[in-house]
Amino acid sequence: MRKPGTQERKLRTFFFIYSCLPLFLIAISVRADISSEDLAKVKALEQARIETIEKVYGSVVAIYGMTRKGGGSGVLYDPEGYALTNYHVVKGAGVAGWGGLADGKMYKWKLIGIDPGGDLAIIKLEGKKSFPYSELGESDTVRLGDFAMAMGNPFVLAEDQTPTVTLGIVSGVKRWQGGTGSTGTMLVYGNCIQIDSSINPGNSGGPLFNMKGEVIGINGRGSFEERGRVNVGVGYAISINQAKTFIPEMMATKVAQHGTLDATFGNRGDFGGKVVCTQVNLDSKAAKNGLDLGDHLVRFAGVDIHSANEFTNLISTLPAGWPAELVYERDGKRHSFLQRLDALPYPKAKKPPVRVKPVPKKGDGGGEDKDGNNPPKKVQVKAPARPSMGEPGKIRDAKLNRQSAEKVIRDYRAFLGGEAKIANVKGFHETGQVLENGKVAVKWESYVATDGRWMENVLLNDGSTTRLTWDGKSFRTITNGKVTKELKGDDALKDSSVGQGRIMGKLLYGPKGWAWPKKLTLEGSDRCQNRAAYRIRAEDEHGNAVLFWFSVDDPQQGLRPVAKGLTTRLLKLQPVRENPHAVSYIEFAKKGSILDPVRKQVVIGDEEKIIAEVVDSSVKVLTEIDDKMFTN
Amino acid sequence: MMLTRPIQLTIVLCLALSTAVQAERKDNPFAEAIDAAQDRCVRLYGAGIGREKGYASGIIVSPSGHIITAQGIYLSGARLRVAMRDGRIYEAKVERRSESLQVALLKIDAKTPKYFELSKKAVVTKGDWVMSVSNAFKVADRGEALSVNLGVITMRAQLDARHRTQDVDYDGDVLMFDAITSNPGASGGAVVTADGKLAGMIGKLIASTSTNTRLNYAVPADQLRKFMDGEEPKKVQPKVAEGDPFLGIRLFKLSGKRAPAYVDRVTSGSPAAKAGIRKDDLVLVLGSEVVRSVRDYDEAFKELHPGDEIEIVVRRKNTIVRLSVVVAKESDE
Repeated sequence: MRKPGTQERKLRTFFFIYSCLPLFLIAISVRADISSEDLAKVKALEQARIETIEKVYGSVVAIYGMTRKGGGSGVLYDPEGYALTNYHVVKGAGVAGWGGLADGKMYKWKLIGIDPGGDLAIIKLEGKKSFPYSELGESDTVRLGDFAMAMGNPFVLAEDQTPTVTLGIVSGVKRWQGGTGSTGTMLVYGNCIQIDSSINPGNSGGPLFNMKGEVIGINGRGSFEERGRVNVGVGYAISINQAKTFIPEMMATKVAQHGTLDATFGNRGDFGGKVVCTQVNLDSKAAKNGLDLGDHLVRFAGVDIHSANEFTNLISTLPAGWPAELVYERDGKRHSFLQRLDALPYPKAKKPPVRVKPVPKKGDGGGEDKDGNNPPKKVQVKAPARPSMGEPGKIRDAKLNRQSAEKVIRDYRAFLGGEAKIANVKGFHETGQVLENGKVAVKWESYVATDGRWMENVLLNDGSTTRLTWDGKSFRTITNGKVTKELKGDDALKDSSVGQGRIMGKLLYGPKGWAWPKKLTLEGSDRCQNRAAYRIRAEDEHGNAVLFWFSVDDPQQGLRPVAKGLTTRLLKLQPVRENPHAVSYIEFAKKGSILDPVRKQVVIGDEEKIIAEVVDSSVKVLTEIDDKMFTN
Repeated sequence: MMLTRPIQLTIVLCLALSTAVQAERKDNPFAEAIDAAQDRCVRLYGAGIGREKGYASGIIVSPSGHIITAQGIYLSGARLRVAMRDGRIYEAKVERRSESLQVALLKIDAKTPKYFELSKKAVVTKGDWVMSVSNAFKVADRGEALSVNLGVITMRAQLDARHRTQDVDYDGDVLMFDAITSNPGASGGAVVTADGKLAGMIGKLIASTSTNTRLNYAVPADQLRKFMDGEEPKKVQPKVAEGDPFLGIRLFKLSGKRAPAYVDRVTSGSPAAKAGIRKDDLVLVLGSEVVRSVRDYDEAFKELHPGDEIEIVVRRKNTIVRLSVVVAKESDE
């Protein structure tokens, strides 16, 4: 034999490298050295990890196309069957396919929405009343060295659909992995999480969990340079906070677009030097807002910027239309503006390939004339039409969109206390004051019935009173005791005060009210109270409209009635009319049997500038309505 | 009760892991070690040629700007830049290289108060947790933290210098672990313990050309220390002189590469003749490889090294004959 021992040594090396999965092996192999107490601790730890895995195991989806070919992963985050995955997983499958769960069963899924720029998609599994799901966590607090578990279906291994678990640590945070496509705007991973947990083909779209079993990322790609597409210890997950920001866009069935300032920035000098504007489109909003070449970028979207990469990372995680503030310096002076981001264009969709099939001529077997004369006729065979995944920035499916909007409102009503408890609520009696610059501007009393009737007494500083009543038949304005205006029937319903009040009351508290307004549209993602929100527009048959902002997850986690995936909460509402005032809901507390807003602010604009604070408000939840309150 | 270090460490890590399940922020037993290592590791940018990457990692090993890294093409360019954690960039000069360890000592013109002490004794043993800290794939841009991978030391072993196969030029002790470090740019990165000590340095890439596998290893800190102190081991001569292998067998090749490997001629006095190989023998096994064709024989032959004692299995009429041959050097004849 040549070099006896070389082979053996190689084998030994491989044995050690690939078989020594540490922890318990070591513990067992030297058990003699370990006290029973310590061993118990180690076992308890292992047990805790196993329990965490068991808790989330059922929420991991193995995703296939309609033909059950291919394969990726996903994670259910809502009991109704909504799951997050990668865009590049569903791209091949189209708008429907199959999803396998750990129970061994296959469920049909349909596509809700996609974000090709950030490589995300939402699908909805069907065929089960309540699906297992995982909580979406917080990815901004993920630290280098944190343990992280990846789950999914690598190499489409699982014949029985049970997911594979790989444990590793967070190798890096706020990483950048550039995009693909002719414009480089597809599949960009900005501010993503780098892990050494094994990520292989098939893991794509699967969840990355922290040790509490919360989803902190969506595994999507790895550095595979030089070798095959197998794990080399460098995988990347899209941060779950980015996913939360894009959930409303995707739930709206849109092809989500990413934001841009239409300006680029570069580093000047060493690290710690300036980040300067190197290019700006003169037609862009940013240029019109005052940004110019050479301006020194200080802060963007609430984050201090130290390098051009930091800016690129950050903006790639924000959707088009997202309000972002830019702070910059010129000649030592600070300037700032807030604008909604422009949309970064996607490469134009390629036309489906047209196969050209030569038609065989009779007799000569279809061959071409040797001189090139008389070329065979060609027939164009069109590729079978595939259902469209939608167009950038547009709502693809109005029906699914409304379903999403209804779901958000339904979830909010669940947050308030649930349908049964809301059904008991007949109305609210509220008193309070509005403070402008610390001074009382208005005192008011309102009496609102959930069937849409309402009354409001307003006491202004000058002592004048205004009383507005809507009893379901007529709308009266009573100023200082005198009826100054009265509208009846449809005329009253057309009045914006009546119409908009009716929308708010019925939608949020009415019996199954969310299904009522004629138009109910989930417009997509928006920033509200500095967090990601769903923006929903509700419009009645008379053209009265109200905008609602619901949080993607609850800012006041402690209030969750029951663990129920993402808990949504009303953040802001704005009647659509000439004055742009909106009411921001800051804090909720238990009132009677349901949760009710106890702190509100009057805000204005995308900046959400606070112009008045609503204080001292006393709220009474009514189980019976006194009809007299609406009449005189 | 006395616990061995790996066990202690394992328990400490596990405890941390368990509190992770209950408590919010105590789930990271590595944070301090990682943070310290980030201060003591640097990114290197130099020349690249073709598929050879022009970037790597390095470790600060003295308070006066000494940086240790792995040998590589990036050191041979006109300019070599070192990027620190805080983003400062310095030009570096190569002060010294070690052929036997395949490491190089660099110097930058700056004070480096945060540095790794190179231990004279082995820092880790089988079963210890370690973390690699490096700029693999160049993903850590300006001011970003270097990548950290977690692993366990699987063994400390001696690498066998096989210069001819170019697997590796280094034949000293190496640390092996199950973290994947054999990535572009990782060479020269640190391998640290959970309590923040430097265990070794990620070595130059070692890949097997025949299996396309790569070795994940580090040069132990004690070996680096010897290099620093100028006591490095001398370059060990490959065990046999270099040269092409010679057996003295000529195959019948007229039927092409896929034909069975029949011996056409045996040079008299050659190793094959001495071993008793005859004309018309059919070669079945050469060394450790099964030979089905002339092509297989040629490939197996290339893997032979002068001085190796190998086995040749041949079929002679209806019997299988096993023969032992010492490979000679081509120029010997």
